Amino acid sequence: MTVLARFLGPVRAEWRHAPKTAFLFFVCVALSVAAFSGVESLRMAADRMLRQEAKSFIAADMEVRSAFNLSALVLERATRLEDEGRIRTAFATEFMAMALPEEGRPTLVAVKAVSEGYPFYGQVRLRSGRPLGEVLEKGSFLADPMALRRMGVKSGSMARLGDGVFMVKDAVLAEPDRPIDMVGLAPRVFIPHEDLERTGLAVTGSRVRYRLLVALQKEEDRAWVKKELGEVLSPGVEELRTYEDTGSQALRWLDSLFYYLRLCGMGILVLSGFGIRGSLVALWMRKEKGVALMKTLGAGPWRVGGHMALFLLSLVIPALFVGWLAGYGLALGMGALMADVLPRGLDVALSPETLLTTFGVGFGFTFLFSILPFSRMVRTPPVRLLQQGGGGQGAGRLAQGIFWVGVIFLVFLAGRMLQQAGGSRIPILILLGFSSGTVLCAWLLVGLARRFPAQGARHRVVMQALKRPGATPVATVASMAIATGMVLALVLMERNLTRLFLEAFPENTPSLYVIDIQPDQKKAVEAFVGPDALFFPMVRARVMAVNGKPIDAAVERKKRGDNLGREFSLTWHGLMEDETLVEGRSLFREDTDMPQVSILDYIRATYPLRLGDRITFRIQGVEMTAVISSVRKRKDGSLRPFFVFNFMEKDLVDAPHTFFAALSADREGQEVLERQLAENFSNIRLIDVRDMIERHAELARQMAVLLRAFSMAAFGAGLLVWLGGLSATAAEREKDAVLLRILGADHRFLLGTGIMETGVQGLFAMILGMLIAQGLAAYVVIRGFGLSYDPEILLMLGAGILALGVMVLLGLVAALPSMGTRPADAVRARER
Amino acid sequence: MLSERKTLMKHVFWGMLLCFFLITSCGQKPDAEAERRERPARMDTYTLVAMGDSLTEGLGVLPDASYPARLEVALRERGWPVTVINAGVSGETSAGALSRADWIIHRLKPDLVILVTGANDGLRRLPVDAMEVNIRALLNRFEEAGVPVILGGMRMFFNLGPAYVREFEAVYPRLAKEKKVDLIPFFLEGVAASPSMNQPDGIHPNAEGYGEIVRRILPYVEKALTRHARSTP
Repeated sequence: MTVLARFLGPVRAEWRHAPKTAFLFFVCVALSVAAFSGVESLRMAADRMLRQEAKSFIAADMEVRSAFNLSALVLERATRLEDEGRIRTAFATEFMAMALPEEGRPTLVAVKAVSEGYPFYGQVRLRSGRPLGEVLEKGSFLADPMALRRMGVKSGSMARLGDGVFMVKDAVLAEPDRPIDMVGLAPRVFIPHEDLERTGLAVTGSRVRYRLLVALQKEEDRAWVKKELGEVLSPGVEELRTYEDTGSQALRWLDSLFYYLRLCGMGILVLSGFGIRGSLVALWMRKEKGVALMKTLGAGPWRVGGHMALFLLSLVIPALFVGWLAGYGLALGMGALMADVLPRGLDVALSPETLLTTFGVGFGFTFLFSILPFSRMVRTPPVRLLQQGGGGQGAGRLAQGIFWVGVIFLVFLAGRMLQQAGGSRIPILILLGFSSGTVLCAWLLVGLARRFPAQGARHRVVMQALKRPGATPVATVASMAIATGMVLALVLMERNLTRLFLEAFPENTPSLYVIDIQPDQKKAVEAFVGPDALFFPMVRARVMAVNGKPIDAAVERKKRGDNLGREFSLTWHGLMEDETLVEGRSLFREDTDMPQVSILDYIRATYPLRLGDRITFRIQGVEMTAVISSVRKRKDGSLRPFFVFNFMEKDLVDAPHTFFAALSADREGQEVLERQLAENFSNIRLIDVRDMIERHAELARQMAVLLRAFSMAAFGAGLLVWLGGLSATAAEREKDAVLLRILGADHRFLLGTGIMETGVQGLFAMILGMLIAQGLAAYVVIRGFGLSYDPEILLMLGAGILALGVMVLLGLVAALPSMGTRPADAVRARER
Repeated sequence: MLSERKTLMKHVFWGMLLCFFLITSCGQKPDAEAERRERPARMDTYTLVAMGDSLTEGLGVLPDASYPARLEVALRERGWPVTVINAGVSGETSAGALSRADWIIHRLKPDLVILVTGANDGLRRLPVDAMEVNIRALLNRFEEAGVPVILGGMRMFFNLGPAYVREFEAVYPRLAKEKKVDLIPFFLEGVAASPSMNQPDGIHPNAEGYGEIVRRILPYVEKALTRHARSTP
């Protein structure tokens, strides 16, 4: 402690001589860093939570699956990795079987035998509320409530599966990784993996899905573990899948959200930099006299530089630490305030990663924005430093070189951070472009404002204020524009996502599909399912050629996304509820007798098709050529059934077809329907997609809420930065106010100029911010989420005006104390 | 003397002519068999329809690798002028197959049908008696239309229960006997349960698997074609 005190001795004088300024700088740095740290903590918590959600789709980080027993090589490699502490493993073996209760009805069930550890992500919810591991003991059997009802059993009953006898222990209410193709086929039953052998059912000749679930101990090992397991798989028999491979639309949304939340963090980082710069400039101005004195007394450049560097460090290090803690508190506070609406499982924690990033960012920006004024101060002779308003020596070449290297390094760092989040470079370029463009525009606007002929005294005062020493109107306008732009962008994204949620999941979204309805069964099935059910005819066919040119199925199947090489279900149905025509005046033309087909626009992403093109289909051996009459587009994110090729009834009705019905039904209603349909039409099958829809809906809701939380955080961060900048110029503002009062200005005049000063800067910031918002939001919504974009002009105008109002109000609040200073007090006041 | 020589020459000449005819008529029998093998009695193309579910449609393999496409190639290589139409519909049960029997008969006008259906009935554990009714009705329709059928037998997975599996598997030989149609005892013989012959889902053959299927069913198809060729005027 004595050593520290001695070490810091020389700078203690600096603190004593300019306590207010030092404190202001400390607060500015802490506030700027708090903003970044808070948003980063929240982003990392959201990242963790959303990744957990994504991983619950397969209940693991990755899995090896096979329709045959897992090979010895795979098992050995997994065991080795587990012994090394890199992974944890669990088995999940699935197959269909007849459950034969001692007293009750034999029932077809979907058995899942799981070992300890399952599920690694997500939850199996039991009726008792107890954890799965506690209930699923040897000899026990957990079943879906539907299975229990069908069997006519309850807890405590005995039932046979193959050669094994089990006791029913509990009911399973939810399962995270239920494959969609299994839903509706048979209700779920869980047994312990150790009991699998005694059922005698998972043997050669049985149809079984073997899964080895893998959970990583460290996320960084992902690629390496994937490679280790991948190289021992039996080709064509065993597959390795990660949660990213499930192809779920929900996961694609999550990927986009992760990336753009990171972008938000980057934006806050830029804002933090502006904040630190503003307060740093004010600090250096305060220190000029002291430096001049040191030089006059004979201190050389190194002594001066070392002394000021030590002083700066003595403020920066504690400010960064306090800012980091404050940021954590901010994230916690936000989490507590919004607990009811934020997604469950959002757990904000102190993180060394945030600490390192915060310190890195803080030091980086402080160093970057210090180097030039530092160099100027060191190089400028004392007499010029002391001259009022005198220009100083320029920064040295070394300092300028270091500055630009620093800028390039920060840009590179930003790029790396975004690259690590897995995104493309385009958003980086957009952010950089917008930031540079904003700074340029701000510079132009402020320059124009300064040159604009003054209209009255107030106007003249405001123009002077923009040129005030230490005033950084360009930085202020740019930083507030970026903050406003980010907030408005997030609001736009949230509105568009909410629209997705409302439109993709309306209350009557079909949640139940009835398939394989034969034509002669349609009327009878209609009587069961009711008038609200939608019936779609389905004709199976393949695309053979386009405009006479044969389709190469091999090439088509290699394409990502959908392709023309697969089998399609053709239909005849009017325009669906969630479709719009994007090309063609009507679905079908009236001026031709040739068969016509309307296509969905997304198929054109993989094969170029235009109006008037002829597609040749093969329908069970018979070829038919149809001309494209129109192009349809589905509403974004819709989970309703869809058909790529839609025909006129006359062209397809004679072809062999079945019907598929889509309807909404609650769980009890579905059970009754299933029983009735099974009794009357044994070939018909029901697929319940309710769980999938609810999951997607919940996810969209969570993403919308998270965006709202981030928009609040971003705006708060921007305000903190601006307040910091205002505080940095408080002294100069006070001096101006005193002078004006000496010249006869009253409170109203001062208030008016204050409003104009912040208003002018705020207006510029608002306009630029709105442009940034539209550009960023449009890119994210269209490219990131694949939605159509609604610019919400009126909302943006209203939000922009509100933001301007807040900026002006806060600016006034910050400036009010200096307006109240009496001239005599100001003249007498001395920096100690 | 001269007249006796002339008579002898006449006898020799007619005798040689007779021998010549005898020899050529004997040699013609094996050539005729070969000729029938190489060029069937009818010179028109036979239309074979492969009717069934995803096993017929070739789910997961390229269209050229499905069994109907490969069967066509194999038959043509052996001199059969055939067109094999793929009328497989993935996911279809026996009820679906029955509903399109008329389309197959009237639109495609098959000379021979290879019917492989029922697997999806079994996978969904649908009632076996309903499946039997459907397949019997199919065979009746084809019989009424004068279309010969080769029925592909199926087996079912053990985990669905031994009693069910026994009932299911007994349907095919029973119906084949009742309706007097050719039966391929198990369509996936030599392919089922073999990791190297199946796709990762364990139930659909891969390209190699379909090749094996065609190799095994070829004799049944040729036998049926030959019978059909002989019976057709």
